[in-house]
Amino acid sequence: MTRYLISFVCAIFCGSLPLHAERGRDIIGTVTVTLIHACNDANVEGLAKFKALDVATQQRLVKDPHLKFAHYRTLGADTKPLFRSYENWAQPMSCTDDILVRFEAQARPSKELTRLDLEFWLSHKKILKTGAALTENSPVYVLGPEWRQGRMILIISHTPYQKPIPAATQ
Amino acid sequence: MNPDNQTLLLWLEDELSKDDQQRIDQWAADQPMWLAKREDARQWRSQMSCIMPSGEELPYGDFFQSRLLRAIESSAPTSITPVVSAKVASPWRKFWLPASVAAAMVMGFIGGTQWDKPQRATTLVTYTPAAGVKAEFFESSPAEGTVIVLNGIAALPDGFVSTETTSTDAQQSDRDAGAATLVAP
Repeated sequence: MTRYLISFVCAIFCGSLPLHAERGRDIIGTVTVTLIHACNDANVEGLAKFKALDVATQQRLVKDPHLKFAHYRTLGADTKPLFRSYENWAQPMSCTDDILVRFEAQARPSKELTRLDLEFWLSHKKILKTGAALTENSPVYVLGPEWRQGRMILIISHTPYQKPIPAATQ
Repeated sequence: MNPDNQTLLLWLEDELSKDDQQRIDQWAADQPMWLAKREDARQWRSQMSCIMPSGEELPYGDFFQSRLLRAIESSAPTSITPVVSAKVASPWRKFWLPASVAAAMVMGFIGGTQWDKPQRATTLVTYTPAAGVKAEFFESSPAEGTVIVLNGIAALPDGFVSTETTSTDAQQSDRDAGAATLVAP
């Protein structure tokens, strides 16, 4: 009888392991990394092809003295799922992996706040590591390196899901 | 053999059986101290039997408490009752009592919601492993977000993103224009 009981408990334990492992891949939101070029010169060579940043975001950037420039152009953007317990990478410029952002949820996100581990990688080197608290409409701005008479700015924003998407349904 | 404490206590109270009583009496014959104690106990019992009638039980705690309560009730109203009745009679008290309770409930509710509300960190831990690179952070209310300023990174060459890739990303830039909007859908 005892042998059957132990086997039963072991079967339940082993059967539940894959379920717990899969929960780590539940999608609990999305992270959007937008790479923009900010400069004060309207005619920068090679950048005319890029579209100007949307007005609403420009207005927010202009108000901050650290991010204030005359012109903003969107170089690229990448939206990636935020997993419950796995890391993920965003590559805002799809043609090159020289600019990457690694992100991972620090804790279970709430409606108001999500804490993320963030890393900014430039040319395959880690430049910045931080733990940031993001709200739905409060992104993290990273004023990055100088490039083509201006500076690169990363905008990392987060959209939490009200209900996580289970890994099994992906 | 010396008797144990329990037996001695019963012996002092003359509560032992006849055989035990005789046995302890033999032991106590050369114990003047214990004999004196038993004598004292017997005297005390005889005094108590004179004071209390034999058929009446000793009064217990509830008896005293009820007597005390009755005494307090009979003495208190003379000084306290007029003040209480004046307050109760006041119309302002009738108005302020429910209002103050409601205000306390509202303040408690607001306090409770504020207590649990997560706050953005006023400090941000940043780590810059690359030599010469330093990070500063600011909570920017105009930009409605956290600003991290990286200083000390070498300027990227113009060809950091090649011409071909630039054109490719220009097309992507068009596609991602919506994604660049910060306001979540």
